[in-house]
Amino acid sequence: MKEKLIFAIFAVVAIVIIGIGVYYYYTYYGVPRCEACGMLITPEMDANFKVIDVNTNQRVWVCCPGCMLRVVAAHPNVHIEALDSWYGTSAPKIIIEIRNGTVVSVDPPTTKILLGAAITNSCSSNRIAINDTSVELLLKYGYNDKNPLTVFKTQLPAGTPVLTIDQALPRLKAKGIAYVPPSMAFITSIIVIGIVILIVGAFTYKKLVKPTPTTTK
Amino acid sequence: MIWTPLTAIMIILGFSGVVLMLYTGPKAYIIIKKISKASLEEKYELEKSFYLISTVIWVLFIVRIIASVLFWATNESLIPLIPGAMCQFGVNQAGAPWSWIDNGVKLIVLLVYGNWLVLDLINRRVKGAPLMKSLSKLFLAFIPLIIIDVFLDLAFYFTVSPVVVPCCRVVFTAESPVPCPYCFIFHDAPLFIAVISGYGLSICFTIWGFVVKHYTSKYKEIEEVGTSVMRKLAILALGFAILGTVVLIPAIIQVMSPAVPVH
Repeated sequence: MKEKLIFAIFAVVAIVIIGIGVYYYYTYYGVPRCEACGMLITPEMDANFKVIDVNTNQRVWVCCPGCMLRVVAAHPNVHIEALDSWYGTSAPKIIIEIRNGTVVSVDPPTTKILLGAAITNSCSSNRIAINDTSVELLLKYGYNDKNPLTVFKTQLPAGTPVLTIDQALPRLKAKGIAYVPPSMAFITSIIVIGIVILIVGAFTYKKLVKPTPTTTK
Repeated sequence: MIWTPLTAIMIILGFSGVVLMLYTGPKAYIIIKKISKASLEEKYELEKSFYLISTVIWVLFIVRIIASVLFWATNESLIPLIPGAMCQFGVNQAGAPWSWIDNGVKLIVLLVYGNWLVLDLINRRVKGAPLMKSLSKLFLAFIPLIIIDVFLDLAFYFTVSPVVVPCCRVVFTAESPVPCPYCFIFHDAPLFIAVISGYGLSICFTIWGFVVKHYTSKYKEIEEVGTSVMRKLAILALGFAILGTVVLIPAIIQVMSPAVPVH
């Protein structure tokens, strides 16, 4: 009976672990990632930034206005549609055309990028603004809590640079794609650790599970 | 302090840990002091008292084990509330230095507290509670860890504030030999949560098994029950090691897959 109970506990914990694994496996493959930094794309990011590689007509997923321009390093011809970080859908879409890695057009031309990542090194400090009013509001408050599509609900750091698309593109393009999968050495070390734990498990089993004594008649 | 339902739960669990520890600590000390000179009748009374204390210690340890699991979930939930934080690395920076030490402590609490719980389980199944003194001593030995564990939680969640922190990529650049562990486990390859859980439990069961073996050889009264528990722990250790390895295979595939979107 007690053996069955142990087996049942093991089965329940194993099912929970496998369940978590399957859920995260699904999550990983079910949710796109920012091609520049690897961040998981939320519905808000999806709605705010639409980058299309015009060569392949494929969508390039990005998480922030900074990564939106960083992907130009890998996709030199892109059509970008972005929402103002303060007004959201209440303002017209910002349309940017980039060809051969240089800005061809920005509509409206008053569009500015607030590159807080230059201070914090974090995508969550980047914003895009359609005009100077939006720039001022974003610098002052960081985000608009009345905008349901707000991506990052954080303040901007002091000294956040405010740049035009033309000014921001070269430095962001130079930064390029930062997300790289872990090295083979790292993965191999994980496999080695796994094998060691498995061997230790087998050793423990051999060492602690003594054969039950048999009675001789 | 950032008040969210999860940080509030962590604070409540921290304070409840303090209360339970203050209740059980002196009582465990009294048992150690009295047991050597106790008459048969007094011993019986101490045994009854120990059962009550051990039940409270069970609650205390289970509360701390739950807190150690919730710790990671709470930190994950704080990411959007800290400017610049993109993963738990940023949250830890906002709560430094308590957060970093707390991370290390949280990795060993199940191993340490679970050890006591396994031994108490054996003690409850044997007549005369032969491990009563050892368990009381062991509990007193664990009190510094409980204090550190609880103090770090309270210090961390009371001091963490929405300050601007840099992203982990500042430290873990593309050239780093290892990726950011928080991004790697919680974002890049979350299947490793299952791998670490499987392997972590396997390591715990292995160590608990050998600790039980040590006590079984020391106290002959618990030999039968101890051997049975050792057998179960060994089976569980091997089972979870196999489970971790089975989950490791898709986890490695997950890491090796290109970081491009699928939609």
